[in-house]
Amino acid sequence: MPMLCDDRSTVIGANIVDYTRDLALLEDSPTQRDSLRVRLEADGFNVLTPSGHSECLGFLHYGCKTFLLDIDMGGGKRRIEGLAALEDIKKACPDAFCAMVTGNPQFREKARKFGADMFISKSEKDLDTLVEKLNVVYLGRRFDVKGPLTLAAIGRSARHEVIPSLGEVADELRALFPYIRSHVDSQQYREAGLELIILEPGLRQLTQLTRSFGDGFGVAIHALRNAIRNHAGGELRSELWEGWTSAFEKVMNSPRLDSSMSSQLADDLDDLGFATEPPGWNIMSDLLMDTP
Amino acid sequence: MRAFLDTTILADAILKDRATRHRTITVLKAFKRVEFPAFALKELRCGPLATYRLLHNYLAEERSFLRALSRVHALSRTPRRNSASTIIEAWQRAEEDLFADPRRGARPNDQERADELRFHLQRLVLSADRRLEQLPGTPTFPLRCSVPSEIRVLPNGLLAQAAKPCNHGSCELAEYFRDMDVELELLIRAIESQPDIPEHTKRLKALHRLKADHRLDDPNCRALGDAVFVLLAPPNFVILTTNVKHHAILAEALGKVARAPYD
Repeated sequence: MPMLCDDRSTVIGANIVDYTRDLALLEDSPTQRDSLRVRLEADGFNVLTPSGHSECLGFLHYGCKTFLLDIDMGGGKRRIEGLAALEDIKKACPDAFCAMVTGNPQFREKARKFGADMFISKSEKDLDTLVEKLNVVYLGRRFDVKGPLTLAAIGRSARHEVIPSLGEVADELRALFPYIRSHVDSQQYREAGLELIILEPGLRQLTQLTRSFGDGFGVAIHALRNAIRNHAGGELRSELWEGWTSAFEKVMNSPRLDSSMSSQLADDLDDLGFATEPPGWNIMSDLLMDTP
Repeated sequence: MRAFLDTTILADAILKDRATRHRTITVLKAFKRVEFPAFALKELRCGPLATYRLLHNYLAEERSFLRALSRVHALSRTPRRNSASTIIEAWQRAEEDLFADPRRGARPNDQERADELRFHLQRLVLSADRRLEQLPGTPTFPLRCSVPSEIRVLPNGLLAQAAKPCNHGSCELAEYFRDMDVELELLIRAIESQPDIPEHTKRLKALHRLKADHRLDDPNCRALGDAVFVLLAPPNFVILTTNVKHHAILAEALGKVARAPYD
């Protein structure tokens, strides 16, 4: 079987998913799954919930390299689902991190043979340990450190600049502009609107730079990103596209915007015809009117 | 046609999603004259805008959507339990909407969700005064307590605004109602004929107090709510509100008309 875990943390195009902190959780009980998901999302993981072991391999193919697998998944054939997933994942990608949920010593022994990295129960204490371990795993991947994660190892890493700079992300996004522009004002308005979503992974990366540039940058980038997300599937006229790119360049050229400048920029996008509110705002603002 | 706006219309025009804001502004532009009492500004700042600021600050402090939600939940053990309940419902419904929409791409993680909400709230709070100035309408019946104090962004990212003191003894709003004993009595009768709900009880108490000594303190001022708009609306103006159900009973008692903007 070919090695699937080529080094891509972000897939742009048909599968617009950022897998940088993704964790696939294989658990058959919906209650347990939801409880684990909420717990792990609170610690900053993007929790994916494959329905079975073949879907686990699908996630692996698209770059997810961290798995939490419940071995003991009820009776009958499904009992070994977690073990089967572990075996296939480790065969395809020995670097993938697989934590197993089981209290059964026999299963542990089998899982260890297949290369399981960790065993936990569902206790709070074990989950804390898992989160700590995963944080180290992700950090190691971010800095491309093989073996123990130390400052010296990070220093030796040739890839310590993993979070791209503002200029790099901006250039990646600009490289997509001609493709979108080729659809603007054509008969394929609607199609062009849908294509806007190819900007989403890059814009999402920009939101992660907010701490470097301040809240003004955050307000502006979120408005630009929401404008794209809310407009996906809509018609893209040239004045809309020119207005958006002009606002984008304004932020890229002077990212340390003050709050009033960034609010004005967001209002200008609104005036152009973009909706810049975050998802769910229409419902939320309706209800918040009733707060005494 | 002339329109007299209540707080719900101001909120629709400056705080809601883009579609609602544009629809509201278009409706307002169709009127020959648009006015709103300063009391609406006070309600807007003490109500939704104060809530937005509170949520923003929780999100800024916690940098986590879920932890901010826990802070709101803690409010439910305080006198602000009604606010807490509304906020929790709002967040729950917004999240359902978010997860139901397949166009959203990658699902945000906890911190990303906190950030996207926080920055939108920050923008709305900081630009509210500018948007109010651009509104096609004139503020009338000025109140000292409705003049905004400056909102400051603190070094730790929190939004701070000094509270405006209530003028108690020399309340301009109470003065506007000084010669309206007949109207106050009509409103009292109209409310007394309605079902006994907490909002009516508080409003009745405030109206009785106002009629008795022409004074208002902050809780009674807030309890008057819809009655203020009905009392202050000039005779040839239609009261524009999204809350017609409550306004109509009071408006009819004084021979005035309340209607929704999008009818």
